[in-house]
Amino acid sequence: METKKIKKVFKDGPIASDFIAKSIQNHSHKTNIGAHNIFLGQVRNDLIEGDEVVAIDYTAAEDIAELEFHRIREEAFDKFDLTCMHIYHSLGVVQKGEICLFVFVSSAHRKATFEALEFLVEEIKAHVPIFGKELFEDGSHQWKENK
Amino acid sequence: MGDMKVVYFGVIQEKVGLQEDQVSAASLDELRETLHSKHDFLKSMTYTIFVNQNKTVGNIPLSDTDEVVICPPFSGG
Repeated sequence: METKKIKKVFKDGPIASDFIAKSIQNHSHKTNIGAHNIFLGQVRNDLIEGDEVVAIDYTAAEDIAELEFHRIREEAFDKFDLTCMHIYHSLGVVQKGEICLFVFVSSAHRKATFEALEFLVEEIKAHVPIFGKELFEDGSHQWKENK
Repeated sequence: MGDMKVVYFGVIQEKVGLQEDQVSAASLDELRETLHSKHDFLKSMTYTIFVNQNKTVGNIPLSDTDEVVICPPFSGG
């Protein structure tokens, strides 16, 4: 049963676009699916007091984070009529413009995918112990905080 | 009483200058007090405590086999 095993979420470095394409392709044989929905988090070049963020270095309390991702997955499967769900988050350095979060949900119909996707992204941001260190061009840094 | 393992992450790890420490405390309140006296900046910041991987608020008894993880505000995604 797909929902019961703890799936590995973390990937070293950015999430490549061909990995995302392959993930979509992997679902072509699951013909009961009528709707996919994808959220991609991208590292933004925030300007903070004139300094540009050029990358984010992600660390996490990994064991706790994996448990929390598992809880969020289970909750989403209970709440929404989903066929499939995949979550990937980067660890380590991700440059501006690169992808650091990939959430992919599939269902027979579109409505469940819209609702589930928003739920998942908000839960991840609020409850998973991941820490982003924003790196500036001049080598300095500051720690990001989700709003 | 022995010491329990306390693990730090993110900006807390950076400011403390350690990935982990050994701290003696019989309860979570006592641990907070000890950490606040060792690391002044913790008094004025919001952090999340996990005891044996469970998010813990309020006060609970602790033993030296417990593992405590101290996390700054989350910033995933």
